[in-house]
Amino acid sequence: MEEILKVDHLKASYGKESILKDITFGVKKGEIRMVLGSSGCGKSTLLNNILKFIKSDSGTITYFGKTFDAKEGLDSETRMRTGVLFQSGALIADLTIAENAMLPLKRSMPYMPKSQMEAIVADRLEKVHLLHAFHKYPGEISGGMKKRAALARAIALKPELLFCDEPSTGLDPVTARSLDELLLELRDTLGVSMVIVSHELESIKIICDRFVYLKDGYVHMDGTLQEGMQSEDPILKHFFNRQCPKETKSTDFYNFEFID
Amino acid sequence: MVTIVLPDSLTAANSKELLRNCKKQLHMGDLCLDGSNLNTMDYSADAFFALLAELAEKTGNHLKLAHFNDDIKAHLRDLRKMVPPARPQKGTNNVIEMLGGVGFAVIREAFEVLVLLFMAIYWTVFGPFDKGKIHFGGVAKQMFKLGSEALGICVLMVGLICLTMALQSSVMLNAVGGGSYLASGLGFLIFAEIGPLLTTIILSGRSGSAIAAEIANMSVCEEVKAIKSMAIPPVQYLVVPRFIALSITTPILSFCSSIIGCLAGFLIAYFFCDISFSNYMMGIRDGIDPMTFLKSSIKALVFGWIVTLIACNKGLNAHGGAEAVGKATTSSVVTSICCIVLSDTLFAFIFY
Repeated sequence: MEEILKVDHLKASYGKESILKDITFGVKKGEIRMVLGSSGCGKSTLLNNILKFIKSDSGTITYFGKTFDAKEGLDSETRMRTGVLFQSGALIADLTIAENAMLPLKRSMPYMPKSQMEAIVADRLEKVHLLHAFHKYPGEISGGMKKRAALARAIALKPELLFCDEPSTGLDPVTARSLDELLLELRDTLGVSMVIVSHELESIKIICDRFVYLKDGYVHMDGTLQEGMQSEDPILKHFFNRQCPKETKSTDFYNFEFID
Repeated sequence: MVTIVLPDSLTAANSKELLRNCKKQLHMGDLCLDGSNLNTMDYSADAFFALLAELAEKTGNHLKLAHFNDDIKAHLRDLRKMVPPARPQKGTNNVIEMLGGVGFAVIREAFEVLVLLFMAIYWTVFGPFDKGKIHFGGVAKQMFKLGSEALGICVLMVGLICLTMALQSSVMLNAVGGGSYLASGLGFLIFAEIGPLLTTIILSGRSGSAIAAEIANMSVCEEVKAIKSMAIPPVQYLVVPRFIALSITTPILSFCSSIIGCLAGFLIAYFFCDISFSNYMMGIRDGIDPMTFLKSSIKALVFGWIVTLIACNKGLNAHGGAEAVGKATTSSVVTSICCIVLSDTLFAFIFY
């Protein structure tokens, strides 16, 4: 199947500290690709590099057949074909939910009548079950609703590729589950491919098609969820079974001299 | 070998003094700790023994533990090394390198602000022809927030300072019989210098800090990234409305403040120098010409740009948490004021 995103030998660092040492993977059309790994392994850094919010050291990223090198930013056309759901929602605080969701429309189709934009936004808010919050401000809604509102904004232009940074983190189990269902529904109805950064095991089991597991700046495993869960690799076993690896305690003791 | 007898209970309350004594002895030679009375220890005891063991290793002297009960012995045998990792060295201690780093940072920031200026001018001029176009509602909102709402504080401050300045000048001028020159001197000074300078310094504290805090908060909360992800240039969406708003309002604010400053000066002229309103106005007219207005407006405009662009740049470059917002705000005000005063000096050489 056609790959709509290809990350090729990506390297990135913060100052002198190398975070991503060599990352290569692809995303096929219509699949949900998850980026997994322990906290601090560079998942969000990878997302920021793919989205070109920060410059990479080397490597290329190919979106819809168009290749961007490490120092190159994404063009407007590519940005409009992708959507991003940020961890915090990142809604603009002084705009209503509808105005937030309308921003991508205003950018891509500035001469579209406002009534038409509002109709499109209403449709997207309906899709995320948030039509009732149309005129509300981000400060007036809950965390889960903010994520759904941000999702409505991310899908406003019916993107072909959606990036989600820890979509269900910080949500209660019911809201998290409903957001997962929503992502699956969007994939099925709109055919959106997704790259999702997460370490929420419940969500991973529900929505993941294929995953890349990051460790020490490299891709530790690239495979399907089934392959990951059946893997005998101790790191993946610990991750998928929520096990704590045996602590490697220091054996460096003080040698006290006791006399009786 | 010196022997120190430990108390029956080793706690945080008594271990500090004891540790000091033990360290002193261990520096001088071998030390024996008699634990025959020791029955209980709290959380601080592990660190007590660990520090002494470390010191013994460092000095090469012996630390012996005598007559400890089996439980405490077993506990101490299991005690793992409690050495915190060395603090990573940040930056450099070399003064020349530090100065170089500061210089480089200043040059980089100046370059960033210049780039921001060109981008803001580009989007202001070509924005209306671009897909994204300028959001005039946003400009009006910023004009109200950053300009109109600052009018009160600007005229109050400039008015009071001009009043004080006029009073002090009148005393000196009256002493040499030159009270009649107060109006022309004040008029020139207020329109050419005090008006634009003080207004923009007040604006940097009031509106510049607001811009920096707002944009820094947006950067920290990923809102700037969200704007970028929607193919909207942050400069066009965040900087341009503020840039246009302050470009329009700063010269107006400066002019209003100067008028109030002159009126404040009139009070002094009237009560202390016996100058009538018509004479005062004629004096003002003698002191300033159309070029003074033009130069004053140019100064106010440039100072307004300095306030906006430095605040926006600080805000856009903020990253981290709430601390970054405070840092960006403070730094924006300090940098703006320094740059305004520096530019004012340059203008003085260019214009006069």
